Amino acid sequence: MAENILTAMTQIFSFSSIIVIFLGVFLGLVIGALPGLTVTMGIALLFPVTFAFDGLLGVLMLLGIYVGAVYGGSVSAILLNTPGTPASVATAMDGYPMVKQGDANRALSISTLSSGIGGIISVIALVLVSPLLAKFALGFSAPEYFALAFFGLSIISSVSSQSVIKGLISGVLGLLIATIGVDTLTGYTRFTFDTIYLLEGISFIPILIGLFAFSQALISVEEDLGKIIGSVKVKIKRILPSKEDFNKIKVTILRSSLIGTFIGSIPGTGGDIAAFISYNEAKRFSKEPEKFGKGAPEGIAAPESGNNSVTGGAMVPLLTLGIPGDSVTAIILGALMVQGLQPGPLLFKEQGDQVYSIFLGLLVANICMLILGFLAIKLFIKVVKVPKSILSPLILVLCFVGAFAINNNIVDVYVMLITGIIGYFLIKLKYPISPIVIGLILGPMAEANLRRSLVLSHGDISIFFTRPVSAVLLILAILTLFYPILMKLIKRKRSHVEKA
Amino acid sequence: MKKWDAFVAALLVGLGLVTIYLSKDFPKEVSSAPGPGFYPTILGILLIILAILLVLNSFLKQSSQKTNFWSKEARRVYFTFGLTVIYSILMYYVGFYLATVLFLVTTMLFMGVKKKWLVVVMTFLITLFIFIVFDYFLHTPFPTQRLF
Repeated sequence: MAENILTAMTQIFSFSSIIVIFLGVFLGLVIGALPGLTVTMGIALLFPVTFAFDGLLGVLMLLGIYVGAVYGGSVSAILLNTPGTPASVATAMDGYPMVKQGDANRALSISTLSSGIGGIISVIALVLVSPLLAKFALGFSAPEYFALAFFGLSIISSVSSQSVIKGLISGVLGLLIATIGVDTLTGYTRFTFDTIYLLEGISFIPILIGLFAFSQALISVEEDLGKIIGSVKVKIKRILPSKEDFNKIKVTILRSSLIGTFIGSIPGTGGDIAAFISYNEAKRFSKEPEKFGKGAPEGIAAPESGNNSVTGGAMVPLLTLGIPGDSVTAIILGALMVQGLQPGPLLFKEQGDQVYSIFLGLLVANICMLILGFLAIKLFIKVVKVPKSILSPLILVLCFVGAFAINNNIVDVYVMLITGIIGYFLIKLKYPISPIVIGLILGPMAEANLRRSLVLSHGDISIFFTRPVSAVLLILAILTLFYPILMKLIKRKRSHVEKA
Repeated sequence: MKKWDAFVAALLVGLGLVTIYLSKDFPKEVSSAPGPGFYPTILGILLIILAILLVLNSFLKQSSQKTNFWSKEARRVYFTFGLTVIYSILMYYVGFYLATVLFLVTTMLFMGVKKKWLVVVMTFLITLFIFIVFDYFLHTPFPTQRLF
């Protein structure tokens, strides 16, 4: 382990690595700060850029983008009261009132500090917990991996808040797309219609760009064009939070960071839940809860450190088990795979130095975020004001460029266009998009291990239930899958009882 | 919404049936375990079941939600999509950069950028950015013109 840490340190503390991380955080921040651009869209759009740097450098840049974008989302939440991501909705509750009182500067500096510390604490937790989990997972074989993939898929029901059925449909579509191409177990080609392009399956990145960037840009052409963005006048007096504020929020930051890390590590949750729980806890522990919602510094610090500490927490199941916790980490998982890293327990065993480089890289990314957040506040205030009429054409062009640049193949551009317009109709008909990506990513893992297990057991499905770990995981998966449906039924029953 | 649920369900049943049909000729059994057709067939069946649930759910529930595919705003989206399709074809014939400049100018004007100088400046900056990042650093071989 010590050897791995040393190798990682020489890799990360080099000029090129730091520059690449810095660049990633910067780009992520800009995307996150633009109103209406989500973290998923940022990663989908900027992922092709990370291809300029091969191997680990590309991965580091991606992590930088992730950390930067999660933080950037709160800039527009605070300044415009239009949260860029669900995760920063809670931030707007106290951030915007503080801005209206003329303290935009103070709100932003509290948000930056809390986000940075939250991120750093979560990375420390990641470093401590994940090697242990990976060691435990090393004993896994095909049935456990199938159970794990199934568990990963079961979070689809909790990310599909509006309709579980529609979410599951999206998920099965993703699984189905993943079967196109050569079957990994037998070498048999499936659903390729004798085309060479489909032999390796539809490439992941054009679909990603189509679903998360192109379709979203179309939605914003429909909904936001012509809307006038409120203007903010911000005077920058000081860039660091005052000592008084710091003393007020330090306990809140610590508590919220631990909450966020823990919540982030549970698949199916995410930044929004972490932010709201942190906010509520801060209010509950506060001596002056009546000030919440009116610009309380703790009301900004809690959701900010909560949603940023999700980044480290979410990396725990991602790196150790190879399953994503939400749509953002699903994309990161896919991106890591495209960059040649296969997350899972074997990654820790075989590429330990890479794992520690990722840990250190995340730490550096959070520090970069703090520095950039404080130094470039003025720039981000300007970024927030870019009108949609300029932003949308830019995003559309970047979708084309990104889809093309991955394989230098014009077919990828058409795939992006088609998935983009399909994505647009799906969003309009209220089908969630993230299950498609979760299905796409976990599909091959689920199928290969399902069939491998059945080879081991000569076709007997009891293999999944007689092995304790896989049995427990499958039960958890079924509970996760049906939890939202059960809750709905219980709620309905209750309201019936109350009415009667 | 009901109409659209039924429409989507019909599409899904179709897709499910096609998947099952295409999977039927794959080897049935490989090393005493199900072959390559086993898993897609399950997915096909799942899709059909979900489609039925979708229709049932939509007819049991009263929904006042309306989805308008021909509103003024929606038509704006189709026009934009049309522009992107033209762009994708154009870049093949007149080359990537010329097509990009034309696309950016048209979409910005269409989306209501009033100041002409802003259109020119933004088009220039965006194209320059793409050139530096993708052409210079990534060596992306963008399509060049093939008309002449």
